[in-house]
Amino acid sequence: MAEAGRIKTPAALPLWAEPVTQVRTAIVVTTLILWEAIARSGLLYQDVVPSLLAIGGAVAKLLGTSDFYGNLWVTAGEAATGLAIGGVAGLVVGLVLGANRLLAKAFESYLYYLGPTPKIIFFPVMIMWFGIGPGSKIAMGAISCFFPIALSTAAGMRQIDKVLIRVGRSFRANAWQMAMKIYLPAMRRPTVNGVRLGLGVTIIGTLLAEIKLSNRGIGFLIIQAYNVFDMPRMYALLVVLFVIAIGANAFVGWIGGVGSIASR
Amino acid sequence: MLMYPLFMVIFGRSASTIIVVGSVAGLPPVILKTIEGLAATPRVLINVGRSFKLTGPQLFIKILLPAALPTMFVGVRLGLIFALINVVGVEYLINFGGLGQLINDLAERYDLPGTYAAIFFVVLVSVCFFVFTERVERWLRPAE
Repeated sequence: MAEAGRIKTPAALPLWAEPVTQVRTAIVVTTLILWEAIARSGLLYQDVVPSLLAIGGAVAKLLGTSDFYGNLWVTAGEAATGLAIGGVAGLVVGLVLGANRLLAKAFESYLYYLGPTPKIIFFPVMIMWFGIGPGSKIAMGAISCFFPIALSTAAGMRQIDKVLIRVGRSFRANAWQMAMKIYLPAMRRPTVNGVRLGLGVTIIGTLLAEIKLSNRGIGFLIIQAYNVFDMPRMYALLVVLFVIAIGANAFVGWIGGVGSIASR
Repeated sequence: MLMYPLFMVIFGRSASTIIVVGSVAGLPPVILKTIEGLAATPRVLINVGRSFKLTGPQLFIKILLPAALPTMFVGVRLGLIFALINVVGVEYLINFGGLGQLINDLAERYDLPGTYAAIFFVVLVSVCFFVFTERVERWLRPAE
């Protein structure tokens, strides 16, 4: 999806003649044609796979309504708050585990084992703790992004070149200076990648929570469109969502100065 | 995983939806890691095969496949974990079959001890899953 969204708009002209670009374009075009063929064939129930025109129309209609932007801000706010809480917590835990060998040995395996559990199962408990409002969605987002960020920060801290640390020591840098001048710049790349992973799972966690139980937000719009069987609208929401997610991902990479998705 | 309403429409609220979501989630890491494993085969090994005049299929079975197997299994393991996450998640969301439904049912009945127990159980299951696949991976990895 990420690939498809990115390459649909070839950036520079000399690129189009390259074989890679041609193959990519061919794949995208074939997918779109197949989609349209399935939509027209009547193989599946009517409207399950709406034609591209219908989806395009629904996207245009969606972007024209103010209702959509209100819900978008709700979701964006929840995801951003969740990312902030879980990200800061993950960063702190990652730094502590990366700096302290004993704590890392004691606790990191728990993080590794808890990392791959399906986070959505904590949602019923989060509802009890934080209510059915935005609180539980923020909590889901925070839980989701805590693990990847903590683990990649800890790993990044351990990968720092020893020479750099020794240079800092020999300049008699204090703890704060060490953190700001040596550790953080040296571990920028793994941390930014962790935040990217965290961003993705935060968005997914928030949206799933909204789909399960909410009355606002993009997830609510998606499940509402599903419930009234408004397929073009549902696809339109998903398409817009993918575009936003790719944009947010690129934005985080750009802030962190780690190239685009392609050069990862 | 957000595509699941789409599969619900196509396959209905049934086990096939859950299976499809799980396989879609598990597919990308397997593909990516397989590519990575095959591409990272040491040139020396391939050259050895060439000098023995191995044919294409022989080269693949004797050289490329064994060399790529450990990396491929990393992909399989990631895929299994992704599939587990998504399967339980979708079960919880659509309240159909399995551990996800168990948690949802208990939570909706406000059986809090039961909910916590079920959540703990799911965590335990995924930890077992993780440890088991890790063991297999270590077993597959060539001795260094």
